[in-house]
Amino acid sequence: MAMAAVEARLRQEKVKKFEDFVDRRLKPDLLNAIAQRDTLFHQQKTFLDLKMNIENLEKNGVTSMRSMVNLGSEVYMQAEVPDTRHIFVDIGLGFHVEFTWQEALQFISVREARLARQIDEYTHLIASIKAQIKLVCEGIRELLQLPPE
Amino acid sequence: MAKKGTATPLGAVFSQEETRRAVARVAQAVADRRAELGRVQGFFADNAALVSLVQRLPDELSHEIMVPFGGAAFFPGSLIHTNQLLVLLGDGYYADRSAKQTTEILHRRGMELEAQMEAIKATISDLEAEAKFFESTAAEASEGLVEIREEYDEDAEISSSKSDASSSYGGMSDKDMEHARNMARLAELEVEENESGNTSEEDGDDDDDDEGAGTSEDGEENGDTSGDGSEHDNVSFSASVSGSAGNNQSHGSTQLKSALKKLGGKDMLKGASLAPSASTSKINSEVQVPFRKAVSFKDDNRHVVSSLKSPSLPQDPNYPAVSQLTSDRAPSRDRNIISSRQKAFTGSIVEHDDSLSAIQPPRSNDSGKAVSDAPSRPVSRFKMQKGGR
Repeated sequence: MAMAAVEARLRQEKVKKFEDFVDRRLKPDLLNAIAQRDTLFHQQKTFLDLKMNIENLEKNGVTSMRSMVNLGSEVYMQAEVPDTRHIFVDIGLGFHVEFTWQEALQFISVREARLARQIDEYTHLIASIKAQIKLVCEGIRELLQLPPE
Repeated sequence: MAKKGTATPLGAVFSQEETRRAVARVAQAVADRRAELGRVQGFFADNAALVSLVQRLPDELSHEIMVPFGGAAFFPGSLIHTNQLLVLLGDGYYADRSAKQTTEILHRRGMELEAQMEAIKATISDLEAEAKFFESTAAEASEGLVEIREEYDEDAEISSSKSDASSSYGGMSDKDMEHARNMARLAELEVEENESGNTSEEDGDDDDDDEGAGTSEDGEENGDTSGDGSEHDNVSFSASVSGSAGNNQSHGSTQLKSALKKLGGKDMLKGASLAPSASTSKINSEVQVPFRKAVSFKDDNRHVVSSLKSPSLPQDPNYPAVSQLTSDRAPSRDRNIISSRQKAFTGSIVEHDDSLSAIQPPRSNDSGKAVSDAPSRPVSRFKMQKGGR
């Protein structure tokens, strides 16, 4: 009788430990990974847009253009670009490199590939975290001797 | 009579755990508001920066900038048409505005943001007060504070108070307390004003209680003498004057003297315009005691009763005199001052005293002397004056 009580208490403690692991470790990790992947998606979209814009410029042979610059708070002012053949592209860590269109497209493809790989990594990470959560939940279920769902 | 209350330890009402949770919840709310406030403050700072930028941009025809091209690329270029801005009005509508107009729009936005910040700050202060209350409650509970509660039964309260009143001891103690308070106040006033005494309503009430007969008679008398009802207020007031005189003889006499002085001056002026007989008789009465009879005789068409009554109050002769004094002079402006503000009584009279004595020194002195020398005199004298008028 006493043994059973001790065992039950131990099991409760174990369940508690597992639940804590899921709640305090795995779930925050999962959220973090998803957020990281979202930023990567965002960057990927940005570069995809840039690639399409440059291709458009190339196709139309635009050498000068006008655009609206957002000064902040959705207040715009007209801006003129006299020469579009040279473009400064963000290469990361706050550095911008002056490219021609072809160079920019080349860089963008490299960058896109890298982003795609990173996104893949994060997707795998997310999947593994989800799997771990599932595993621990299964362990808890076994400890509580509940029937499998 | 025995009432039962309950004494509940605060710790039993508010459990430690609950209080802690409440504090945590409020703290969380405060943190949320602070984050919101920080966000709005960021907007406000951005707005201010934009205002200064928009104001500066039209200073030059064009500005060399890097024109953003998508999120990750720039072209070297320049801003043109620097006095022409496209402002989002909301809901996808844009307006072409000049720099100045844009500045006005941004100012309005800034004011709106400021209002928001104020609202959030107010909310934060409210929440902080709430948190403080919770914390103090928790502290009190942990200190073992006890809440004592006693049910209020209106009927029981009334009956108990009635029984208190019915017992003579309670009534006496109340009266004594009031008396002591009055005396303390008098002493205080005495220190403040050496020359002129002061009065208070409590004095009058007190005297009413002590010398009920005199007061009631006085009231009747005034009912006879005074034409309009408003003078009854003055009656009670004058009673208070005399009361103070009774309590504090020296003060009362000086006060009365000054009052009478003023009255004398006033009446003298009045007497000149009115019947000469009245003025002369008045003079006589002031100077000489025996003339009192003549005065009362003259008055007897209206004031025989009062004049007859005056000897019946040897204890407090000033009493009816002063009441007459105030009630007599219905049209006078000074009276209004007296009746409206009792504290102003001595002050106004003293001032008048000076001015009057300057104008008619012998006259006012005479009247004052007459009163101080023969306190029983003024009763008849004032009645006479009233009759003359």
